[in-house]
Amino acid sequence: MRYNVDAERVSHERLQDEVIIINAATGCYFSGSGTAADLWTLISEGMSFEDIVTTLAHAYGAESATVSRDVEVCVAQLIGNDVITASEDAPSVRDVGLPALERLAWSAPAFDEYSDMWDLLQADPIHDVTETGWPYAQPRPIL
Amino acid sequence: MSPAVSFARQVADRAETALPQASSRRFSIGDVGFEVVASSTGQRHLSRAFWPFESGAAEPSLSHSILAWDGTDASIGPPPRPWGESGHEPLGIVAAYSDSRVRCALDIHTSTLILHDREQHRSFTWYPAIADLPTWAKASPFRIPLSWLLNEHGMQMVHGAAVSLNGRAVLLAGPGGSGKSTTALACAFAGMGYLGDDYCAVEPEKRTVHMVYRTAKALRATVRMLPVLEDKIVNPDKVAEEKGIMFFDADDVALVHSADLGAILLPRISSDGRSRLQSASRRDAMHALLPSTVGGLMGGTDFTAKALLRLVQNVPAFTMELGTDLEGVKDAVSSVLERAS
Repeated sequence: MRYNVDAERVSHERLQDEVIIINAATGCYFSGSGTAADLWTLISEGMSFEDIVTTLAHAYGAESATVSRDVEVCVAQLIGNDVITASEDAPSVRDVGLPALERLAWSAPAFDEYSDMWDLLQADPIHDVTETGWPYAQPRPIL
Repeated sequence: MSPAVSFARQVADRAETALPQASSRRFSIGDVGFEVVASSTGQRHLSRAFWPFESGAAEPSLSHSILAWDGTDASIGPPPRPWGESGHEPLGIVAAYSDSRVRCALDIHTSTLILHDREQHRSFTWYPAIADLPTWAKASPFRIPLSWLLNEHGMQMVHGAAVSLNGRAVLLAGPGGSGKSTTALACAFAGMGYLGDDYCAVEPEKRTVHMVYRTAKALRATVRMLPVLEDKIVNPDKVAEEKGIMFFDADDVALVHSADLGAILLPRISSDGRSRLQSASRRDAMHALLPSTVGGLMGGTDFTAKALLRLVQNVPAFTMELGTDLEGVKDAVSSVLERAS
């Protein structure tokens, strides 16, 4: 199983130990660091679930079973929030590497989720429109 | 030809037909020069928010043209909208008529069509009636196409205010009501440089901030604390239901085009009336900047996440609790710049 990130809707960036993911379609954004940032790097590069678990278990010196369980939970969160979709057909990748950073002990990856944008997107109702779809100005009286 | 490019061409044809005797006025944000092409009415209402070049100043080369017209003559409106009732939801971007070259959007607050063609270096903005736009819209015109243009040049428009001292600026970020405008206006009228109070442009790699609009918005509470603002407000009859809007000239405050960015400041109203300053985390800075920036810019672009992350990693952030004594605000902001240097 691999995962797709819809580039039309989701923009993301990793810098050092932090990652930020913006879902412009839902108005939510997510931030994460440590294991969450590493997990995102591997997902967004197209690595399969099995290879993600192997890579993370090796990088953190953790039990594969533990990593597999934690990754599964986090991936479900990302899918549930419409950030990624699971796909059997996504192209496989090679040579995906994690950045050379000092890593602490394994902890379950988790993203902070923010939905504040919705407060800013409350819109006025669209004004009356004509059959062309555009709301032309009312004719002004000629004085 | 993609649906986006085809629709863009139709819009361009209509705009050119609608603007046979349009005038052009040139402005810049940082090194990015652009022109507003509009009728005399359009220029009067839409160009006032930008700070004209000072006589003798070198003009940046022209990067982009923004053509603006409106629906006061229905015969030259945009082509019929091809995407139905909800194609622009939820943020305003019309995904079916946007691609790597063209971005198409509907501003649902002002029912404005926005079309940006990065290959042709032109944007088109159609309003129902330019003269009838609310004052706040005239104070921040072309926010969406300008944000896309700036992204193409390594800049990010951000929801925030900025003031400077001796060429170094602080970017004030936070949700509405946190004290951004009050802090910026108190500092500007205490002699600091003014780069904007609502939207500014940042270049994270260069650590610089640029003026976008020479305007300001103030709640009645801010005007009560800074009575000097009262004479500057252009919509005094509307301040009961909306913010007071100001268009500043160099006689009002020290307008500054660009400054080095020394710090991100997260103002908050103090619960006990006393002012305090403390370091803020990158996460706090991101959370103060991102929601209103991305929400106000229709989700931003691919560049937005990168720009904001680099900004908070490159620039130190501080939380400033604001007391009730505005006379001390300039000193507090100055101390931030000293602490960040």
